[in-house]
Amino acid sequence: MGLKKGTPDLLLFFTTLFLLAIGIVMVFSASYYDTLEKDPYFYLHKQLIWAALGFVVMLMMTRIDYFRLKPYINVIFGVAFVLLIVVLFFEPIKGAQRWLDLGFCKIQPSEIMKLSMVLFLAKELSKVGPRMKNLFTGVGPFLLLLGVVGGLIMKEPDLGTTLAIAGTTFVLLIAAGLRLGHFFVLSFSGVGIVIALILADPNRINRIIGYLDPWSHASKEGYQLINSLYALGSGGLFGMGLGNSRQKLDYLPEQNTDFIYAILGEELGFIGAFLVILLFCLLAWRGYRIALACPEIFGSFLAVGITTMIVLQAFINMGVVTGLLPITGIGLPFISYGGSSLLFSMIGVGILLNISRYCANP
Amino acid sequence: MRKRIIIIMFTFAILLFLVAGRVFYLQVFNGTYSGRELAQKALKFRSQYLSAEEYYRGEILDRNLLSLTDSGIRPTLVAFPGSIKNAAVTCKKLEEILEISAKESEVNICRSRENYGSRTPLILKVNLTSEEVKKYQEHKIPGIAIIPVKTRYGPNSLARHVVGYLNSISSERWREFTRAQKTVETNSFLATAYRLTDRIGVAGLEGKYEEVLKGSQPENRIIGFADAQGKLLEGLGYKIKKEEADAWRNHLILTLDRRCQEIVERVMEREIKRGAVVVIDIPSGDVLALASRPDFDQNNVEKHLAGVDELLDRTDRVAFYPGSVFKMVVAAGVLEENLVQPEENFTCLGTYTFSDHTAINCLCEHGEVNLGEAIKKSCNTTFIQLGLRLGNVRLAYYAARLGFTIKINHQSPPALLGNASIGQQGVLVSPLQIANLYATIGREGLYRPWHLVAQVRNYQGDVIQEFPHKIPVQVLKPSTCAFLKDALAAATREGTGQQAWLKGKGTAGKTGTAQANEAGKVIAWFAGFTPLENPRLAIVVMVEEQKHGSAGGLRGGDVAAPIFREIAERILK
Repeated sequence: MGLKKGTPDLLLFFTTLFLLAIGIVMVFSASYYDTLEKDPYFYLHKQLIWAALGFVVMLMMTRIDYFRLKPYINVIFGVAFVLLIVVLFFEPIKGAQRWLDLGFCKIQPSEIMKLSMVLFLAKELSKVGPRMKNLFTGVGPFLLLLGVVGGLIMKEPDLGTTLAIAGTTFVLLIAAGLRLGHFFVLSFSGVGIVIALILADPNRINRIIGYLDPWSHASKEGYQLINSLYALGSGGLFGMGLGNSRQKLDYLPEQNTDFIYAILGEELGFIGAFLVILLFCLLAWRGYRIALACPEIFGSFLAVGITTMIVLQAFINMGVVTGLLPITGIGLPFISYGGSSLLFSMIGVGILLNISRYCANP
Repeated sequence: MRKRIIIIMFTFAILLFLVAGRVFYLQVFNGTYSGRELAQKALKFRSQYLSAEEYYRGEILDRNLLSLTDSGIRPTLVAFPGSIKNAAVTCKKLEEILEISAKESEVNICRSRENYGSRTPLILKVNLTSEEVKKYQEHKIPGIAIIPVKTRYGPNSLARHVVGYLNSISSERWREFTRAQKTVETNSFLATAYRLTDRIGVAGLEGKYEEVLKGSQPENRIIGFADAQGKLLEGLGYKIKKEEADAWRNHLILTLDRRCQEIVERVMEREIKRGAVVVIDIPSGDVLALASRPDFDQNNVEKHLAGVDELLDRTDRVAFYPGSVFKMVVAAGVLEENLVQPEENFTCLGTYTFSDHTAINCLCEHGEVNLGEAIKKSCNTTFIQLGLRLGNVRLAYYAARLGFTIKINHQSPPALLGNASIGQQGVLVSPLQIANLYATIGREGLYRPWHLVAQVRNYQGDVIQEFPHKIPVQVLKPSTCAFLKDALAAATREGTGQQAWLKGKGTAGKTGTAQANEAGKVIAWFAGFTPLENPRLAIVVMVEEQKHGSAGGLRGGDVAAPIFREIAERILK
């Protein structure tokens, strides 16, 4: 392609780094009490290693022209798919088979799949054209694909990631020209499937009970949400001060992963919590701007997919933490502790930055 | 596609701002379940509460509203079960440092964990001394802290037998409470409802006035900051939070005077191993001091429950032979009935033999003595003759008028009547009764039942119940009492009780050396009042066993009389 390369979107670059910096500080603050007796820096060290690795890979991705990835997408997707099957043969950790234990580190194949899925969908959607208007020949294959991938991830089980992938796929289908009628049909059936999934598992029913009326079930179903709200409420406008969270002292489960936003709100107050939301807004704006400005359709889809993946997760995570949504088990991109998630989010931003270099006026 | 991407972008913008709105509501807006309310809830949820008061009960106060139990805020050893990894190891260490039974503390910690979870702290030992605090601070054990807690019974707790003690609720009492709907399970509206683990008053005034004293909540709480497992946070420690006043608790005000009581108990600690002392204010009939030995530890009642002796209240709950101090009843009777003239002489041959050939010995062969001399010399022979002259019915009558119940009726044989006349067989009394007898003589025959519980005050200090003095009755003629007083004064000045004589003020008193309930042992008595002019104090000293010296050879005049003098001197100073 004879496109002219420019500088990458620096605003996106620095927004990401800012989020990452907040994340590293918060992971340390939220986790040190947990491992106080063994090694208070346990999670910080791990997160730092992943962040460094992610940063290098992100810079690399900025330099690799995104369209050169295209021929490898099938392979990447294939590998991710196989890993999703392989992971089911590993020992469960905390009741779920989500991690591939490589000895020196653990990798979540579903995180690989998230990005691979976006790549694969962007490639296929850029070819689909007007066929999109047909529910069976256009939309159908994507739904089938989503069904298989989602099914595999649900087997782990990991409802959060499944929802993130399904949501991203859905948004990409809309961007690709999904008809309004189909949109409603899919929305309703999607809701139906989610309800069915919830009813199939007593664990999830409890989560819904805890979501609908946490205060009446404060010691069981509502415990996590209430402790999340306690954290946010204690924060007030200016927060308790960095490091001063009380809820992280074993009160709030998953305080350094899925519920880190609550600890952030407690320590940094509404000012800090709102800043994080603003940063994600900024990220969304830059991401979709890149999609809009990209002169070529594959790049546009890729930008929409990557941006949506990050922003949707951020929305679901913060929605859960604030009690707007039932607990799904999804991390806050760049901020929650989690190596795979961080690495692949950074790769995603790297790709986005690379696309931005081809935009006329990002 | 452009349009659609823009729609998607704005949709996400709206969703993110929805979250922002929600965060604003939770953190800044002060609604229900948000903002400050949420923060307070969070604080409450995370805090560990320990009552900063050992018991939620009203105080037992003396006539000047001073605490008799020496209640006060003192260093207390508290365990935070959540911070204790291995209770056995921790308790072992505590035993080494502070000599607290490891087994006992371990049991307590485990029981508390079972009943209240690991987030509720518990008291291991109250009233730590400054040495104990210092010793502990050199070692510092995780999960154990020294915290100021208001303890009910301090080291200087006085009149312990009167105050009584608390103990766990017996299963019978618990059934009773359940039937009366006074437990937490049966009555959720009752603020003072009992919990199975509560300690209630079971003896003394603590027991008698349980309902008056029982409160509903502590005046202060200690808030410990801990993590979710109950582990105390280093550096944050604890805070003391004032609670609302406990409107349920009432205070019991006694007539006792802490100053007198302290004087009495200090002297007793030095001199008396087993015995009792009573001090009565003669004009009013108020009991000023009331003490029994051996003493017990109200914070450690379990230790004493096996050996009942320490818990016995010898001032009022145990009956003794009064011996010669009872002779005043006989003397009063014969004088009231005009059965004797002051000049009339009786003959003492050193022993008196009844018609059934039993005999009672006198101290010595007194020869010819009149009534006054008989009192002075405590002549048994004369008093047996006087008793026989008074007769069964009249002796019982005068005893009753003066507050005694004796086992003498119209059928009693002369030997028994004779014995009763010198305060032996048939006559069992408490030191308090004897004190009241001498107070009545000092009051010129006006009998007043002694007065111990004066008032109930509510939590604000207002008097809500007065216990009035009962109406006094003139039981003896003033002339009778004037004679007795002179004779008693002579007995103290020149007779058997010389060691009880107060210089300048004078004492009217009588010694007594009675057979103890246990064969072969004797009890030493001294009963009397002082000063001679406008008598103020009626004091009874009863010694079963001295702190130092032989238990066998007790003599009222040698043992009890000096104690009487020391107490009287110090109180009147």
